[in-house]
Amino acid sequence: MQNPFATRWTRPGACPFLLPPNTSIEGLVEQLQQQQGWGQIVGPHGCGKSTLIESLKPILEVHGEQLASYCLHEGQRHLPMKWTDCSLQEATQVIVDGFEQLSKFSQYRLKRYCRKFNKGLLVTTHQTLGFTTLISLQPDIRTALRIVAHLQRNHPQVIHAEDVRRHYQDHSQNLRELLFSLYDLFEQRRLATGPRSESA
Amino acid sequence: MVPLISIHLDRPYRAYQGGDELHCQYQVDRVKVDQLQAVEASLLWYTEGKGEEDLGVHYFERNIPTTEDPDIRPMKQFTTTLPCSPLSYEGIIIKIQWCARVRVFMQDGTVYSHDQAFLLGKTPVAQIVQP
Repeated sequence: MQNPFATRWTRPGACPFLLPPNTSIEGLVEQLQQQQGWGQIVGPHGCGKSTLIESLKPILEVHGEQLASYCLHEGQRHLPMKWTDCSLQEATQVIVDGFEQLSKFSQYRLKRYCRKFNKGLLVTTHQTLGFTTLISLQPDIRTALRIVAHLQRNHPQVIHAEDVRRHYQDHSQNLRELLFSLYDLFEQRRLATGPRSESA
Repeated sequence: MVPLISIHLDRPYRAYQGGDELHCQYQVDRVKVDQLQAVEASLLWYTEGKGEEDLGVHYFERNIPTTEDPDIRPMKQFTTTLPCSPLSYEGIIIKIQWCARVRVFMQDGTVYSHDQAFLLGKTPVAQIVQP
Protein backbone atom coordinates (compact mmCIF):
# COMPACT_ATOMS: atom_id res chain seq x y z
CA MET A 1 0.00 0.00 0.00
CA GLN A 2 1.63 3.24 -1.16
CA ASN A 3 1.67 6.32 1.00
CA PRO A 4 -0.27 9.02 -0.91
CA PHE A 5 1.44 11.70 1.17
CA ALA A 6 4.96 10.80 -0.04
CA THR A 7 6.89 13.59 -1.73
CA ARG A 8 6.47 12.01 -5.14
CA TRP A 9 2.72 12.72 -4.96
CA THR A 10 2.74 16.00 -3.03
CA ARG A 11 5.65 17.96 -4.51
CA PRO A 12 4.90 20.92 -6.77
CA GLY A 13 4.14 19.59 -10.22
CA ALA A 14 2.98 16.18 -9.02
CA CYS A 15 -0.11 17.49 -7.27
CA PRO A 16 -2.19 20.05 -9.16
CA PHE A 17 -3.02 23.27 -7.39
CA LEU A 18 -6.59 23.14 -6.14
CA LEU A 19 -7.87 26.63 -6.67
CA PRO A 20 -10.63 28.21 -4.64
CA PRO A 21 -14.10 28.11 -6.27
CA ASN A 22 -14.69 30.72 -9.00
CA THR A 23 -10.97 30.87 -9.82
CA SER A 24 -9.21 29.08 -12.64
CA ILE A 25 -5.63 28.68 -13.83
CA GLU A 26 -6.61 30.06 -17.24
CA GLY A 27 -8.20 33.07 -15.52
CA LEU A 28 -5.00 33.73 -13.58
CA VAL A 29 -2.92 33.50 -16.77
CA GLU A 30 -5.22 35.98 -18.52
CA GLN A 31 -5.00 38.31 -15.54
CA LEU A 32 -1.21 38.04 -15.55
CA GLN A 33 -1.08 38.85 -19.25
CA GLN A 34 -3.29 41.88 -18.66
CA GLN A 35 -0.66 42.97 -16.13
CA GLN A 36 2.02 42.58 -18.87
CA GLY A 37 3.35 39.49 -17.09
CA TRP A 38 4.09 41.31 -13.84
CA GLY A 39 2.61 40.06 -10.60
CA GLN A 40 3.10 38.50 -7.20
CA ILE A 41 1.63 35.41 -5.57
CA VAL A 42 1.45 36.13 -1.86
CA GLY A 43 0.98 33.60 0.91
CA PRO A 44 2.45 32.11 4.08
CA HIS A 45 4.85 29.14 4.29
CA GLY A 46 3.47 25.90 2.90
CA CYS A 47 0.30 27.33 1.41
CA GLY A 48 0.95 26.08 -2.15
CA LYS A 49 2.71 28.98 -3.90
CA SER A 50 5.24 26.69 -5.62
CA THR A 51 2.50 24.24 -6.55
CA LEU A 52 0.52 27.07 -8.12
CA ILE A 53 3.61 28.16 -10.09
CA GLU A 54 4.02 24.61 -11.43
CA SER A 55 0.35 24.58 -12.46
CA LEU A 56 0.69 27.96 -14.19
CA LYS A 57 3.81 27.07 -16.22
CA PRO A 58 2.26 24.76 -18.84
CA ILE A 59 -0.66 27.15 -19.41
CA LEU A 60 1.71 30.09 -19.82
CA GLU A 61 3.63 28.05 -22.40
CA VAL A 62 0.41 27.27 -24.24
CA HIS A 63 -0.17 31.03 -24.35
CA GLY A 64 3.17 31.39 -26.14
CA GLU A 65 5.33 32.52 -23.26
CA GLN A 66 8.99 31.47 -23.11
CA LEU A 67 9.74 30.79 -19.46
CA ALA A 68 12.84 31.28 -17.37
CA SER A 69 12.01 29.92 -13.95
CA TYR A 70 14.09 30.01 -10.76
CA CYS A 71 13.38 28.57 -7.35
CA LEU A 72 15.22 30.14 -4.44
CA HIS A 73 15.74 28.56 -1.07
CA GLU A 74 16.35 30.12 2.31
CA GLY A 75 19.43 32.33 2.34
CA GLN A 76 19.91 32.33 -1.45
CA ARG A 77 20.72 36.00 -2.02
CA HIS A 78 21.50 35.83 -5.74
CA LEU A 79 19.78 34.32 -8.76
CA PRO A 80 21.28 30.96 -9.81
CA MET A 81 22.02 32.15 -13.35
CA LYS A 82 24.10 34.53 -15.44
CA TRP A 83 22.63 37.54 -17.22
CA THR A 84 24.00 36.11 -20.45
CA ASP A 85 22.16 32.77 -20.11
CA CYS A 86 20.21 31.98 -23.29
CA SER A 87 17.20 30.77 -21.32
CA LEU A 88 16.95 34.15 -19.60
CA GLN A 89 17.68 36.21 -22.70
CA GLU A 90 15.08 34.39 -24.78
CA ALA A 91 12.45 34.34 -22.04
CA THR A 92 9.34 36.47 -22.28
CA GLN A 93 8.22 35.55 -18.77
CA VAL A 94 10.61 35.31 -15.82
CA ILE A 95 9.38 33.44 -12.73
CA VAL A 96 11.10 33.63 -9.35
CA ASP A 97 9.76 31.40 -6.60
CA GLY A 98 10.94 32.92 -3.32
CA PHE A 99 11.77 36.39 -4.65
CA GLU A 100 12.20 37.88 -1.18
CA GLN A 101 15.24 35.62 -0.61
CA LEU A 102 17.15 37.85 -3.03
CA SER A 103 19.10 40.79 -1.69
CA LYS A 104 17.49 44.18 -2.30
CA PHE A 105 20.16 44.88 -4.90
CA SER A 106 19.49 41.58 -6.75
CA GLN A 107 15.74 42.29 -6.66
CA TYR A 108 16.35 45.74 -8.11
CA ARG A 109 18.67 44.43 -10.84
CA LEU A 110 16.22 41.76 -11.93
CA LYS A 111 13.27 44.17 -12.00
CA ARG A 112 15.29 46.67 -14.01
CA TYR A 113 16.47 43.95 -16.40
CA CYS A 114 12.91 42.70 -16.99
CA ARG A 115 11.60 46.23 -17.58
CA LYS A 116 14.45 47.08 -19.93
CA PHE A 117 13.95 43.99 -22.09
CA ASN A 118 10.16 43.96 -21.84
CA LYS A 119 9.88 40.67 -19.96
CA GLY A 120 7.18 39.70 -17.49
CA LEU A 121 8.20 39.02 -13.90
CA LEU A 122 6.07 36.74 -11.73
CA VAL A 123 7.24 36.21 -8.17
CA THR A 124 6.12 34.40 -5.05
CA THR A 125 6.53 36.02 -1.70
CA HIS A 126 5.34 35.74 1.89
CA GLN A 127 4.51 39.43 2.10
CA THR A 128 3.64 41.96 -0.56
CA LEU A 129 6.66 43.42 -2.36
CA GLY A 130 4.97 46.15 -4.34
CA PHE A 131 4.00 44.11 -7.40
CA THR A 132 0.38 43.86 -8.44
CA THR A 133 -1.03 40.85 -6.60
CA LEU A 134 -2.09 38.04 -8.90
CA ILE A 135 -3.56 36.01 -6.08
CA SER A 136 -3.25 35.99 -2.33
CA LEU A 137 -3.31 32.49 -0.87
CA GLN A 138 -4.72 31.85 2.55
CA PRO A 139 -5.06 28.16 3.35
CA ASP A 140 -8.16 26.98 5.15
CA ILE A 141 -9.49 23.68 6.40
CA ARG A 142 -11.69 23.21 3.32
CA THR A 143 -8.64 23.44 1.07
CA ALA A 144 -6.80 20.98 3.31
CA LEU A 145 -9.69 18.52 3.11
CA ARG A 146 -9.86 18.85 -0.69
CA ILE A 147 -6.11 18.20 -1.05
CA VAL A 148 -6.25 15.13 1.19
CA ALA A 149 -9.28 13.79 -0.70
CA HIS A 150 -7.43 14.37 -3.99
CA LEU A 151 -4.29 12.56 -2.79
CA GLN A 152 -6.30 9.61 -1.48
CA ARG A 153 -8.57 9.38 -4.53
CA ASN A 154 -6.95 6.12 -5.71
CA HIS A 155 -6.17 4.77 -2.26
CA PRO A 156 -8.10 3.31 0.66
CA GLN A 157 -9.34 6.08 2.94
CA VAL A 158 -6.77 5.60 5.68
CA ILE A 159 -6.81 9.28 6.68
CA HIS A 160 -10.18 10.71 7.68
CA ALA A 161 -11.57 14.23 7.89
CA GLU A 162 -11.20 14.35 11.67
CA ASP A 163 -7.49 13.46 11.31
CA VAL A 164 -7.05 16.33 8.87
CA ARG A 165 -8.82 18.79 11.18
CA ARG A 166 -6.73 17.75 14.19
CA HIS A 167 -3.37 17.88 12.37
CA TYR A 168 -4.28 21.12 10.58
CA GLN A 169 -4.64 22.88 13.91
CA ASP A 170 -1.44 21.26 15.24
CA HIS A 171 0.55 22.65 12.31
CA SER A 172 -0.65 26.23 12.43
CA GLN A 173 -2.42 25.93 9.07
CA ASN A 174 0.79 25.08 7.18
CA LEU A 175 -0.38 22.69 4.46
CA ARG A 176 3.10 21.35 3.72
CA GLU A 177 3.66 20.43 7.37
CA LEU A 178 0.16 18.99 7.48
CA LEU A 179 0.98 16.62 4.61
CA PHE A 180 4.25 15.55 6.27
CA SER A 181 2.34 14.84 9.42
CA LEU A 182 -0.32 12.84 7.57
CA TYR A 183 2.48 10.84 5.91
CA ASP A 184 3.58 9.69 9.38
CA LEU A 185 0.04 8.93 10.46
CA PHE A 186 -0.53 6.92 7.28
CA GLU A 187 2.66 4.91 7.95
CA GLN A 188 1.57 4.15 11.52
CA ARG A 189 -1.77 2.82 10.34
CA ARG A 190 -0.31 1.00 7.35
CA LEU A 191 2.20 -0.86 9.51
CA ALA A 192 -0.53 -1.72 11.99
CA THR A 193 -2.82 -3.21 9.35
CA GLY A 194 -1.41 -3.20 5.84
CA PRO A 195 0.53 -5.69 3.78
CA ARG A 196 3.93 -5.12 2.19
CA SER A 197 3.93 -2.77 -0.82
CA GLU A 198 3.07 -4.53 -4.03
CA SER A 199 2.90 -1.83 -6.64
CA ALA A 200 5.32 0.88 -7.62
CA MET B 1 -8.01 5.36 -25.78
CA VAL B 2 -5.25 4.63 -23.28
CA PRO B 3 -2.81 1.97 -24.52
CA LEU B 4 -2.67 -1.29 -22.60
CA ILE B 5 0.86 -1.91 -21.33
CA SER B 6 1.69 -5.40 -20.09
CA ILE B 7 4.85 -6.32 -18.16
CA HIS B 8 5.69 -9.84 -17.10
CA LEU B 9 8.58 -10.79 -14.82
CA ASP B 10 9.79 -14.38 -14.74
CA ARG B 11 9.54 -15.09 -10.98
CA PRO B 12 6.05 -15.84 -9.65
CA TYR B 13 6.47 -13.76 -6.47
CA ARG B 14 8.72 -11.20 -8.20
CA ALA B 15 11.40 -11.72 -5.54
CA TYR B 16 15.07 -11.68 -6.58
CA GLN B 17 18.52 -11.60 -5.01
CA GLY B 18 21.53 -9.56 -6.06
CA GLY B 19 23.31 -11.32 -8.93
CA ASP B 20 20.14 -13.10 -10.10
CA GLU B 21 19.10 -12.87 -13.72
CA LEU B 22 15.79 -11.12 -14.30
CA HIS B 23 13.86 -11.85 -17.46
CA CYS B 24 11.23 -9.32 -18.47
CA GLN B 25 8.66 -9.41 -21.26
CA TYR B 26 6.56 -6.41 -22.23
CA GLN B 27 3.97 -5.56 -24.82
CA VAL B 28 1.80 -2.65 -25.89
CA ASP B 29 -1.78 -3.18 -27.10
CA ARG B 30 -4.96 -1.22 -27.80
CA VAL B 31 -3.14 1.32 -29.94
CA LYS B 32 -2.68 1.75 -33.68
CA VAL B 33 0.77 1.19 -35.08
CA ASP B 34 1.02 4.69 -36.55
CA GLN B 35 0.10 6.31 -33.22
CA LEU B 36 3.32 5.16 -31.58
CA GLN B 37 6.48 7.19 -31.58
CA ALA B 38 8.61 5.07 -29.24
CA VAL B 39 8.46 2.49 -26.48
CA GLU B 40 11.01 2.55 -23.69
CA ALA B 41 11.68 -0.20 -21.18
CA SER B 42 13.83 0.22 -18.10
CA LEU B 43 14.71 -1.49 -14.88
CA LEU B 44 15.21 1.01 -12.12
CA TRP B 45 15.01 1.80 -8.44
CA TYR B 46 13.63 4.94 -6.86
CA THR B 47 13.21 6.27 -3.39
CA GLU B 48 9.90 7.30 -1.96
CA GLY B 49 9.14 9.02 1.31
CA LYS B 50 9.13 12.39 3.00
CA GLY B 51 12.29 13.82 1.44
CA GLU B 52 13.85 14.45 -1.95
CA GLU B 53 13.47 11.61 -4.40
CA ASP B 54 16.35 9.68 -5.93
CA LEU B 55 16.41 7.30 -8.86
CA GLY B 56 18.88 4.95 -10.55
CA VAL B 57 18.46 3.21 -13.88
CA HIS B 58 20.01 -0.27 -14.10
CA TYR B 59 18.85 -1.22 -17.59
CA PHE B 60 17.34 0.80 -20.45
CA GLU B 61 16.27 0.18 -24.02
CA ARG B 62 14.31 2.28 -26.51
CA ASN B 63 12.36 0.95 -29.47
CA ILE B 64 11.40 3.17 -32.38
CA PRO B 65 9.67 2.20 -35.61
CA THR B 66 12.10 1.52 -38.45
CA THR B 67 11.67 0.69 -42.11
CA GLU B 68 12.48 -2.96 -41.39
CA ASP B 69 10.33 -3.12 -38.25
CA PRO B 70 7.62 -0.46 -38.29
CA ASP B 71 5.47 -2.15 -35.63
CA ILE B 72 6.86 -1.79 -32.10
CA ARG B 73 3.77 -3.16 -30.37
CA PRO B 74 4.55 -6.92 -30.28
CA MET B 75 6.09 -8.54 -27.24
CA LYS B 76 9.71 -7.71 -26.57
CA GLN B 77 11.98 -9.04 -23.88
CA PHE B 78 15.25 -8.48 -22.14
CA THR B 79 17.38 -10.23 -19.55
CA THR B 80 19.70 -8.52 -17.14
CA THR B 81 21.78 -9.47 -14.11
CA LEU B 82 20.58 -7.64 -11.04
CA PRO B 83 23.06 -5.62 -8.95
CA CYS B 84 23.79 -6.33 -5.30
CA SER B 85 22.49 -2.97 -4.15
CA PRO B 86 20.47 -0.99 -3.35
CA LEU B 87 18.16 -3.60 -1.86
CA SER B 88 14.43 -3.06 -1.70
CA TYR B 89 13.61 -1.42 1.60
CA GLU B 90 10.36 -0.49 3.19
CA GLY B 91 11.24 2.02 5.87
CA ILE B 92 9.12 4.60 7.62
CA ILE B 93 10.55 7.82 6.19
CA ILE B 94 12.14 6.30 3.10
CA LYS B 95 11.43 3.32 0.88
CA ILE B 96 13.50 1.92 -1.97
CA GLN B 97 11.36 0.47 -4.72
CA TRP B 98 12.61 -1.56 -7.68
CA CYS B 99 10.47 -1.84 -10.77
CA ALA B 100 10.36 -2.61 -14.47
CA ARG B 101 8.94 0.44 -16.21
CA VAL B 102 7.55 0.71 -19.73
CA ARG B 103 6.89 4.16 -21.16
CA VAL B 104 4.89 4.63 -24.34
CA PHE B 105 5.41 7.82 -26.34
CA MET B 106 2.53 8.69 -28.66
CA GLN B 107 2.82 10.75 -31.82
CA ASP B 108 0.66 13.49 -30.26
CA GLY B 109 3.17 13.93 -27.43
CA THR B 110 1.25 12.04 -24.77
CA VAL B 111 3.30 9.69 -22.61
CA TYR B 112 1.88 6.66 -20.81
CA SER B 113 3.80 4.72 -18.22
CA HIS B 114 3.31 1.48 -16.35
CA ASP B 115 5.44 -0.03 -13.58
CA GLN B 116 5.76 -3.59 -12.39
CA ALA B 117 7.35 -3.68 -8.95
CA PHE B 118 9.64 -6.42 -7.69
CA LEU B 119 11.75 -7.08 -4.61
CA LEU B 120 15.51 -7.19 -4.58
CA GLY B 121 16.84 -8.86 -1.42
CA LYS B 122 15.03 -9.70 1.78
CA THR B 123 15.41 -6.65 3.97
CA PRO B 124 12.80 -6.81 6.75
CA VAL B 125 10.02 -4.26 6.78
CA ALA B 126 10.80 -1.46 9.24
CA GLN B 127 8.70 -1.13 12.37
CA ILE B 128 7.89 1.94 14.41
CA VAL B 129 9.58 1.71 17.80
CA GLN B 130 7.53 3.40 20.49
CA PRO B 131 9.70 5.38 22.97
